[in-house]
Amino acid sequence: MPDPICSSVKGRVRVVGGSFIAPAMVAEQSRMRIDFEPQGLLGPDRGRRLDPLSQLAIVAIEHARLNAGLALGRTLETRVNEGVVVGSALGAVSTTVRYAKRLVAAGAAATNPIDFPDSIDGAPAAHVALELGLGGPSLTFTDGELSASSAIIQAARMIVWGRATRMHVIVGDRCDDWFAAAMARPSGPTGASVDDQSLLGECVLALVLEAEGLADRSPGGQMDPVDFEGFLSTDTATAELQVPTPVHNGRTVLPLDWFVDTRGNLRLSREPIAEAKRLVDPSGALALAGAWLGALGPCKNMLGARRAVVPEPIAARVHCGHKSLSKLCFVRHRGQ
Amino acid sequence: MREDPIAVTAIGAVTALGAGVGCLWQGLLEGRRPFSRVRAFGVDGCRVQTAAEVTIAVPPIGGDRSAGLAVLAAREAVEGVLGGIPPDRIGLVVGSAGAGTEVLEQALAAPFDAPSEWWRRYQKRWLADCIATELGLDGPRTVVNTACSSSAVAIGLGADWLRAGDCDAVLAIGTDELGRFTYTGFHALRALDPEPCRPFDRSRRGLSMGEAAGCLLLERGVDARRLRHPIRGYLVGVGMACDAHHLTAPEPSGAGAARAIERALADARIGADAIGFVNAHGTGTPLNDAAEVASLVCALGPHAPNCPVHTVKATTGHCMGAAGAIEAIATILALENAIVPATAGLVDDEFAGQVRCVKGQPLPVDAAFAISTNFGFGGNDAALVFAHA
Repeated sequence: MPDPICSSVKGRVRVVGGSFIAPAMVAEQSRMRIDFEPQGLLGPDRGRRLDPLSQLAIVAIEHARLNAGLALGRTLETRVNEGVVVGSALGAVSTTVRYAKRLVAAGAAATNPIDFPDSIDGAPAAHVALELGLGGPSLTFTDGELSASSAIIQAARMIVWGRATRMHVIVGDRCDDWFAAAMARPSGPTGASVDDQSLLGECVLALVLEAEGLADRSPGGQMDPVDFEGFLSTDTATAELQVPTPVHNGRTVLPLDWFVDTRGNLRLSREPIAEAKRLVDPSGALALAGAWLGALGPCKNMLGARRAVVPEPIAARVHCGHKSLSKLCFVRHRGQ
Repeated sequence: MREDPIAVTAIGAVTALGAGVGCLWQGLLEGRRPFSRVRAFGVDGCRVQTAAEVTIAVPPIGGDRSAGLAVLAAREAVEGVLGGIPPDRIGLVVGSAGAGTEVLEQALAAPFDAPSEWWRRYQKRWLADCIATELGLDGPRTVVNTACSSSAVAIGLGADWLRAGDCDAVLAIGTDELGRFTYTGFHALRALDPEPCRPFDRSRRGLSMGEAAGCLLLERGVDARRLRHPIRGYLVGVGMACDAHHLTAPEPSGAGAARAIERALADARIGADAIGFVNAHGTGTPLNDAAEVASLVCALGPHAPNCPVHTVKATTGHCMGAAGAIEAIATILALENAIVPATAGLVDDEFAGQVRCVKGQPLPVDAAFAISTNFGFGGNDAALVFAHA
């Protein structure tokens, strides 16, 4: 049976720019933190006011636009057909926890009216739309480990269905200290809990998708376009789509010291698998970053990203909950 | 009108008016006002202490009241309907704005007494997994959050899934329980009316919160006819836009909302003058209602002063992420019955002459098409065009 999503998108949507804010290599407590503070780029007011995920989303998508040769700044008049999609399992969790702590400790009278709207899952997308003046669809997917793939699939769909000509996708998580510690508590959750062999991996991946043939980018973009070969979102646990092995100069490349092994697990290093820690990827964003950066090959201006070479092919697979599975792949645009 | 409309073949709703679309419709026709002091949590110290709560027993699904509400609504909708469709061809799109915060509060208050998977339950994906498991759905599923337009967007995404062939039926569900986190948030913003809300009235002072779940079963029209499923109405147009103006305040000119309406009309391939009535977002806040009327004047043009407009929020309360689904269902019921319910609480119409707000008594309207609009924090605008079956 033909893959309907693949056939609806193939050759019609292109990733023209992106950026990746990677987790730091030094594990702190039970997570790999994003070791990058964007306040310096945003100014003290927004740095203090916005949720950390919103801050990173703005910085990452601006960097992605620059890589695509697109202008920054706010021009709603000319961007009514450009939209934004965010995929995050935890959303604006820092602000949510801060608001809830005051509510629990001191009641309704102690809550901060500024925190409440910034705590909603859609706040990071809203801030990106505000920053860039995007008048198209603004969506947020909160699909657990499928959040990232849901976001990018639906962003591509917005283009295919004519709801937008360009979509900005931001996926990932920036966890809150209390939340991360609570997740790691031995008496805490079961299932994908963060244990001694696992690390919660934060990251933010931003991509700019556009309809093929859109031609308002200035020359000199610093990144090769990457095509969607297609993707699939399904519950069929047996199905699996292999990301084509990204090869550059005859070698398989991956962006970081972590990689996705052939079983679809995220690994922390090139050490033997038995010794590697497992990365908990709350939104599936790390897996997608691996697939995209792998397909991209060597590139410039990755925010905080480091590159490594691993001798294994990539299998990108993101899963969540009961039988759910989402897969997608990126293919380097051969024409560039 | 476009040639491939999406059929709405079943609907289900749970609101403060009771369980079932019959209770919803009757309550709308009667202009009931089921607002009372909040029972779900303590409201001592709050200036406003009322809301429209669901009072029937709601068995929590996966420990989650929002999931429980959703399953009640879905069961009403799909009872006896889904038999001919393989479970792996039935998709699920859930729109929710506030689910998950209750368990976070539990974990903060008593970390070692919190449910073992509380952080998983905090994530809205939990909703979709619980609903799918309970209903035996094996198709694609997702949870979308665009604040108070969440389930309108969910319905639009469900239509896209069907057109793409991802599945053969989609349950589009909006659900949100009345939670302390969201209630106190709107309270802190001083967005709540101390009295039951009065949308479009000159004396309006804010919104009244509610809780609900609404479910629409969507199928491709050709499939619904082949399976002889009863068609309640057609979804013919979807429009989405963003104000890009302010995190909480609507763009005063209504430009973003107008853009969503115009896109929905274009998607439906009909003109503004074909619209028989509008089920407005109509929260009752001074800013929302003014911006919304401005958007209708802009998008409907010369047709606006003659186009009946009503809102259900004065009867159901503002059901947050569930609002879009509840109001889509109300729109379909109004098309079916050729009656537009009056907006409860509306006495002194501030916008007379700009749009035709229905007040006092329900208005008989034999409409072929109607629009349902929803707007949310972040400037998220959504508009759905429905057609009479």
